[in-house]
Amino acid sequence: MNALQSKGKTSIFWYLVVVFPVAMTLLFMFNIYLGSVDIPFQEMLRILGRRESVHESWINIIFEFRLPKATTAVLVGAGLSISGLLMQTLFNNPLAGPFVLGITSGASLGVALLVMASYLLAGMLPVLGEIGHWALIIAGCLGASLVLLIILLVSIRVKSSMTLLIIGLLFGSTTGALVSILQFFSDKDEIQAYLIWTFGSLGGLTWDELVVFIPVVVSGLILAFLLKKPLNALLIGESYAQSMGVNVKKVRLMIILTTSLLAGSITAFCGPIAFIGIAVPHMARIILNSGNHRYLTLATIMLGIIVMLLCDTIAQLPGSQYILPINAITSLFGAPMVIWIVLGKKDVRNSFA
Amino acid sequence: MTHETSHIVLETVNLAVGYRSGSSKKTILDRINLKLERGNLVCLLGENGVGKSTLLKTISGVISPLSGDIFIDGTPLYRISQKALAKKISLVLTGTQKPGILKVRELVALGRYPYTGWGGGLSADDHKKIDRALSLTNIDYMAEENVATLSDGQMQKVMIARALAQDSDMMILDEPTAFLDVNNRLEIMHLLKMLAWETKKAILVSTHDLDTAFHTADQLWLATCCLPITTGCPEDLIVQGEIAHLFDHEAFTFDHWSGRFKANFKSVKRIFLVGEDKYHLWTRNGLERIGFKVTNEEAPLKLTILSDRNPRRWSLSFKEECHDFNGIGDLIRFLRSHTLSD
Repeated sequence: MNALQSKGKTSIFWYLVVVFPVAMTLLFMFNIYLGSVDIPFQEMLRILGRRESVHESWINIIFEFRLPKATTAVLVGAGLSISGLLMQTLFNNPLAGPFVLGITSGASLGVALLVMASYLLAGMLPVLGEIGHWALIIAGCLGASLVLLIILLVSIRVKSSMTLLIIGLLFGSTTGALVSILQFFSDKDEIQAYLIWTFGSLGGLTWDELVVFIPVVVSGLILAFLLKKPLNALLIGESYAQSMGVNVKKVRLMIILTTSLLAGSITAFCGPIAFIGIAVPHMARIILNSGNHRYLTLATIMLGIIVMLLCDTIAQLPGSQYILPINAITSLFGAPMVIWIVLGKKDVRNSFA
Repeated sequence: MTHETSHIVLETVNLAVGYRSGSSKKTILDRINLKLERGNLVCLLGENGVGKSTLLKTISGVISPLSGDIFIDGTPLYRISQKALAKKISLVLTGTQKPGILKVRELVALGRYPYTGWGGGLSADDHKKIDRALSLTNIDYMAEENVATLSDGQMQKVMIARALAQDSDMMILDEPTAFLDVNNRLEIMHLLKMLAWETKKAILVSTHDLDTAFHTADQLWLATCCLPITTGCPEDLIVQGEIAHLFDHEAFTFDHWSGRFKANFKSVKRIFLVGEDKYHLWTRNGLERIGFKVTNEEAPLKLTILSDRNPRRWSLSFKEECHDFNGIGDLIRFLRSHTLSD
């Protein structure tokens, strides 16, 4: 029995300390290595290490384009996956993800208002061509924060987490409807600009923006780490958690705040990116064969980074000039993943969380 | 006096429980004056909807009392923080949401929650407490199993082990056996009794299973609608007629002899039964089941169990008629299909 126990523990340890970190590092390097301009691997390492190269432009490519993009992928992968895990555990629902609270819809509405309402609010907003990236980010943040505020107020009032889930989903529909109305009144350029935003993009961020984005995501990840103990207690239900001394309301508020911070900022900075949040926590559970948040939190973050880097590498179609929309790639990858999970397990409820 | 009070882990004084909605109160049980002693298994009995769960939720601090006081180890409940209360009271509920891929040991370890740091890391002492909880509940053999593969009965034992690991003076169980079959129900109740005696915890179990409660509980708390809770040792409550009185029902009455509830029938037909030992007992049971009143005096209807040969025969005489049967089943079938009036 002890041998069995130590065997399970060893394999989890092996994944967390060796397999995941190595895969993460390799994929990160590979992600920077690949691109439309061929830079030899040796040369790339030299640029990263000593900031010197035979071609001045290569340094520029690596530091101003590829490194920010890979960093963004790391942050997005980690943030979305851990948000998904938080939501799945809080709502005890295998289909919950970072966007069930309606945060993304809020961000979409903010962006849609900015991009498309210029027609309605003529003169008040800059015309389409001049909408900068920062404006998009601020609009997204405002939209996400508004929904976050409402969700927080509601969560203080309602007793059941299930009610919260339903309210979040309804928010999604409502904002979706508002966006549809906006689209109806917009011209095709505006609609296209909005549509491009919905494709999601990891490549749009410069260091200026990353300086804001990095601390936000990192603080979200730290919050998530601090929550791993109460998350385990929530696995057996809120009543039991409360009887063990968990302040369920406070923990719920913390979980929502963390998820909103992560999902909201990621959507504002990079657009909506689907499926990572739902699929990665399931993958982590299956690989570790454990639902214990002591290991699952770290595993989900690392696996999220791995998957996001992988998706981004696929999206930039190695050897070509094109970059496919990242949102499409994650869905293409995520949907079969979720289907595989559902079909592969006899009882999804048992395998979940 | 001081020695006596130290045995008492829970005391309620003029407690009223129920629900508040806005400014209106809905009282479910009131005038509750109870004392819970260490080392005892106490069964809270009552019909569905009488307020057992509400009382337990109030005692365990989930909902606040409408009026009155609750003292835990002499301290008023409202003065105890949620964290400190977790070290005093542990809970086991009717059903548990399936926690997914978690080993039995990991689930039991959750009981150490109030004692661990922010990361939930377990000390050597925590591991010792977990081991003890596993062995007291006889589930050490499945410590490494995934909880998703367990049966309902096994799962409930795991939840009891988890409550034990919480190391509280008091364990409160709300209908822990409601979904279990008879064997599992008995096993769980005996396990609880053993735990109460061995670990000197006060264990309070709500149930509507009178039968099991009579045979395991050290004390009964009887909750009935609109009356104060009656408490006492099960045997006392039976001989004092409290059980029969409180659980009076038009379709059932409590039988002092068997400790069971028996169905009431409107038209009672008397039957004189002659026989011995188990044949007498079970024939009598069968007859009562179909509405006969068995007497030891002469009656027009007379049943004799003939023991002169094996297998036994049942001989029924009514007026001039006489019928012989080879088993109780045949006899009952005959009695049900014939109206034998006086």
